[in-house]
Amino acid sequence: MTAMKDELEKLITNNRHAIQDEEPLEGHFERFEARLQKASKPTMIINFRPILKIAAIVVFVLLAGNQARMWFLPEKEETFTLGSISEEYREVEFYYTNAIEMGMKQWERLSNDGLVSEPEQQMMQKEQNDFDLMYQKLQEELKANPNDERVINAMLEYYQARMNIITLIINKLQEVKQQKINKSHESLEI
Amino acid sequence: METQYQNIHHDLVERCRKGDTKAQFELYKIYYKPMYNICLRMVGSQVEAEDVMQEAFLKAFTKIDTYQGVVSFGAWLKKIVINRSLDHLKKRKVKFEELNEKIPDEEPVSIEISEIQMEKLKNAIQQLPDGYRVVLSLYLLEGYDHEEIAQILGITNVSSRSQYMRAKLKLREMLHKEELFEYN
Repeated sequence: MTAMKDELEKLITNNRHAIQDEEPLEGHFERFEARLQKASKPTMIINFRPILKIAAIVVFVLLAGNQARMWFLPEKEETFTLGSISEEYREVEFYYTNAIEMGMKQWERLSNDGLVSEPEQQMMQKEQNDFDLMYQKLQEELKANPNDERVINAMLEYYQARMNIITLIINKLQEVKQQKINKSHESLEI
Repeated sequence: METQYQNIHHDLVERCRKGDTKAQFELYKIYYKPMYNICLRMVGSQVEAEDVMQEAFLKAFTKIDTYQGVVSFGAWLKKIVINRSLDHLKKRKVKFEELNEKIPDEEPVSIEISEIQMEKLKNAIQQLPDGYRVVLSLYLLEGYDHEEIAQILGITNVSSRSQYMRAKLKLREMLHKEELFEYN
């Protein structure tokens, strides 16, 4: 190679900085900033991963806890009554249970007054036990078929029957009580 | 010098490692120009050069954990930029062929540098075929020797030399047409 032959090389290497002085097209900073923002998004997702993992663990623990609770405490079953079906039935249920309760309190009061004999008390107790059994069966039926009109009607009939019987007994006892009072008045007058 | 260069941007590099986009943008502002010029000489077009350069920066930020600080950040980045440019050229199916034939010696020429119009020289380099332009740029502008160029391009040392000689011949011819060269 001759010295002359390297003139072109010299020309380029000596003017290296001038040749390498090109600027990118206008707006390259903005374009890069946008790309940088876009590229940094996956990092954000990676940051969320531990949170998602923790959330998944929490959900799993809650589900497992609930499952364990169901396994170990099976006796604590949620009661299903007429009131569980709708708000209207809840009111109906409240009316009947209230009336039955009031009736039973009156029965107890009258019973304490000595108006009810021992066999009558036993009979009443048996009646109440039968009603309780029927109620339990109906409750199970209702839980299995909450939308079955026949079961709902049966439940309503049950409440009506129980209330009617108690009312009937109470009325009769009231009559007896009244008669006794009248009799005692009469004897006093005589 | 390199150690000093490296230390100047040490904090910025460390912030980039933590994914700080502001620090990444700062590094871009510092290095975009030399990196863009490398890309421009290698891929040829302004739009493609910008795209490749920015991609190289993004690539560098994603693998910044592999930067050990043995060389300056600029030198490390430059390698990525060159590799991205080569990948881009490969997509264009540019082949750095093995050329082992003997290239005839050039005619001795004398150049009056003062008479050269820089823009015409830049344009001539830019218009060289891809393969020639890459080898000539790596050799004359980036300062790599033929051994390194051969390694970068995956060709032999001899091929790098012959490609470079052809590139110079072609460039001379183009400059002659532009009347930038005057033969004695």
